[in-house]
Amino acid sequence: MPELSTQATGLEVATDAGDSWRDERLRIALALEAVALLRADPQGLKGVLCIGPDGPLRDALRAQLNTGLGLVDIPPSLAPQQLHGGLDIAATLATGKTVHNVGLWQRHAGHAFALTSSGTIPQALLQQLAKAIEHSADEGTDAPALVVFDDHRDDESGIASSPLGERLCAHIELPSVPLSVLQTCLDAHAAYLDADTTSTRLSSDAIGQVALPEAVLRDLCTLAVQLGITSMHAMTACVRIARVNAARHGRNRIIEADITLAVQLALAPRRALAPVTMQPNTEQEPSDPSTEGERDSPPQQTIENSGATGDAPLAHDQTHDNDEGGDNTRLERLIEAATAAIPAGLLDEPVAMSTRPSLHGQRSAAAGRDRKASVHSNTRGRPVGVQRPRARSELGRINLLETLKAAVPWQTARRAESPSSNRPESHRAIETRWADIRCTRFRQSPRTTTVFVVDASGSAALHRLAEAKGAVQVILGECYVRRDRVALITFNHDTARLVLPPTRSLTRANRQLQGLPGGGSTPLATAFQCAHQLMRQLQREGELPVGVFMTDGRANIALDGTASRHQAIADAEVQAKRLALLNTRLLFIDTSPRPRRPAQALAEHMQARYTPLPRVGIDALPALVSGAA
Amino acid sequence: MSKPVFPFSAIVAQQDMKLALQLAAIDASISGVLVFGDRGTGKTTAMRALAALLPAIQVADDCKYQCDPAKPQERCPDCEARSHGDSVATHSVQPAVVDLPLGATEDRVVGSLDIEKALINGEKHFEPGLLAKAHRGFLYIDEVNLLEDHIVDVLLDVAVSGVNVVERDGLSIRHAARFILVGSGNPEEGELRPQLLDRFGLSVEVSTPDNIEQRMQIVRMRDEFEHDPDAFAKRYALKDERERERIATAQRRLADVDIGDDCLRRMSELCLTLGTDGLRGELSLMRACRACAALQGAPEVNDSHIGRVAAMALAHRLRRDPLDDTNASSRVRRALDTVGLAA
Repeated sequence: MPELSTQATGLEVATDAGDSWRDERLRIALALEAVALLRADPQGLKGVLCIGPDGPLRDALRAQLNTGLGLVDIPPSLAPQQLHGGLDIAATLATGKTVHNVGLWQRHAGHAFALTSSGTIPQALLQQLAKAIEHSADEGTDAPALVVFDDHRDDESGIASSPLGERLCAHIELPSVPLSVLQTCLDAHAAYLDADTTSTRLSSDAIGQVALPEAVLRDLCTLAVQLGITSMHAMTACVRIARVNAARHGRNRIIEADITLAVQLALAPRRALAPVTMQPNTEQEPSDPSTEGERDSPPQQTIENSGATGDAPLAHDQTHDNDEGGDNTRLERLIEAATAAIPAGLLDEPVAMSTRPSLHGQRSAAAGRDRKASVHSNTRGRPVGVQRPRARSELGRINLLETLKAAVPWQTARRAESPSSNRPESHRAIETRWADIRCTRFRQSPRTTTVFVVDASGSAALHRLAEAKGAVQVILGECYVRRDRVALITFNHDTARLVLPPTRSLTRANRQLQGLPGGGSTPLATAFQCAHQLMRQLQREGELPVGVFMTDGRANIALDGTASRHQAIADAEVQAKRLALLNTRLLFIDTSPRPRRPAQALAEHMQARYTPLPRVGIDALPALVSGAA
Repeated sequence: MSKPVFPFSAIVAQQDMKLALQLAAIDASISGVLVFGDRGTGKTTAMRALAALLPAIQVADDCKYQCDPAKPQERCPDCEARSHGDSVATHSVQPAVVDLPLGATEDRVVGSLDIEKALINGEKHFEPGLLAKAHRGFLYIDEVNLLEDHIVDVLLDVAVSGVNVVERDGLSIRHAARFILVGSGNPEEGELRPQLLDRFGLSVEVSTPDNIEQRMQIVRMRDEFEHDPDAFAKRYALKDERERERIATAQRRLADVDIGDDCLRRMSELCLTLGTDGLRGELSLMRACRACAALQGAPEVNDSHIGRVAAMALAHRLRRDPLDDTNASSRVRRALDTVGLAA
């Protein structure tokens, strides 16, 4: 019987003497634990999503996966046929018999696949992988596990919220730390693993035999409701992680430490709401992990190290577990643990852009790199003709019929060139050359995205916002005709906010547009900059942005946040000129009671169409916008 | 050995979705169910569970088009060639559930030139696509609001006519393609075109229950199922069998269910009050009511049936007033009250 280590999970190793890297150490420990768990049960846990920049931590994780499971890379440009195999066209043409190639998935069964994304991965591939993971368990073969490394978190359309992300059991944020800190963490974890019972694969039975106490399950569900998690995948992943951890240590029932680990890996990253403590009279602040150590805690809970995340050492867990009065406190501890796992700063609504938005935003750069900003694409849209590809990179969808038609006239000559004497006449394949290949070209009509930039400052703010909201809704109501999208940026005080990211969904627009705040000063230059950034990105994605500005043009906050009217006007002018360089359609709606010079001047700088609102009237707004588009 | 499907009778809550799927199975002319909801709310599970539950159908042997031996006029070209006008050998099989993947091309859906035969023998031969596979079964579209426009066009065409006509690449084929279209999606990701919405007979909204007890039960069941699927399936086999009987009986009884004139009048009043476009809403409502009555064993449709299925049949056909924030199902309920039907 192996000696139970005094640490129930690998997380205690992370929380040595409180230092400035406590948060990051915890996340590194979580990442390492996740990999260890995956090695123990690749089929059940299905995979892990790691969000964070490339670096030594990622390499360390990859190395561990490689030793444990054997790591195979999936290129993001993989065609879905290659995943599951299909007709090998080249070999078939060459030999004259049907040749199928075994897909990547079957070829490397039992290994771990790594998918690295630095831009956007085509949706089709994500869907295929999601399906492959889902069905692999059904076939009972040694299904591979999938580890996805994503460069940055993209809340709306990223991998974390896609069907693939749903099925990967754990989502981890990889922090950036100095090499020394990383090294200490790795060493500590390696020492912990050595003391651990098994890092080899566990059988399904062993995992299934771990008991799940009713009270623990109840806490889990309550926590999930509090975090606003609606997906049952998350819940089952949580239970599975807890089970695997218990089995890994040779335990036959789940204890609190297992659940804590599971919550931090599977539930906390999927939260939709910020967690709140159940009893408001406890002294701790849920959003500030550093004060947890000073909490006035019940006597059983002695937190030995100040970096406590709620996973208490093994010894007093055994006394705690059957304690019914301890249910509430256990749930609280779970909530604390969930909070601790969320990187500081992400607990607030993540949408506000500061007055100093980085011009080389991570997202726009990465997104732009990958997409082909062209109307004629190789794969999407309506088929519209056939062409010869000029280079390997233009190879889209091979149009087999046209290719064969191109090859047929040359057959006699080619056969004379290379007689294959051992093949009977009837089985001779059609000799094709590279010059015969024809690809189908597709055409997709470019979409229009209307970006509203609405001034939310001053007393008329709510009125203006209401009009803008109305226009947005009317446009979305008709958008099925034109497949258009709408986005909304508001600005007041000293920030500009992307309140509604580009969307086609009326439901989402209604949800995001409830209760917009108004009042304050006018950071016009920031708003222009924000709009510029968004429209540039849309252009790179191959869409047509249309900008609609609703403001009276009286800027009084400069780009750097100072309240200097003179500077503010100058900055706004510069930004307006930048907008003109985008060469897209812009509409400037002057909301001041009488048409005023500042607004007209800005409209001229922007080369936008200028309309004063009172003359237009509220009802004409949607028509005007549609006309501009 | 393939893993058994999660049993239909073991699905917790989600009464509306289960009923909608059952009705669509009972009366194929209801033509489709649209399921709206977040991810991980059990949409795919429910659909696959139902497909496994349905009474088996007879198909012709060696037929890629799931030909119905009882309908010789619809025989596909292959069967026609094989049988020379006589009857064909048949075997019974479970109705198919075909997934329409997100990146599906038109070729894959509709069918195209058989590449192998073209490459090897130089023959022009038709390789049936997903529509042929889905004939007399289910076609499941995940993320239906992200589906490409030209695929949507194809599906609309086939859903209307029930026949897939292929004229491309030098081929000229037609074959029967009637299937139950089940689409799922998250309304926050995009709007569906009204024409496509209208094609779906019923629509339901699902969400994970907020009730802790129900959630715990769902997790427990899923857990047990994962641990030992065969034993779990066996536990619910009897209940599933009874469910299958109910559906089969309802299918048989369908033609005998009466709908009185006053019921029809109330349905029309309901549709007028709600302002649904076209008559398809009323037709769907009528068919759904009849299927519901058949399922419950009632000899004729009464008000309770209308109240039960009204939201399902009409919620997605309401003319959208974008400035009106009210939820579709509450509008239906209001209309039900106005017309004097209990919800």
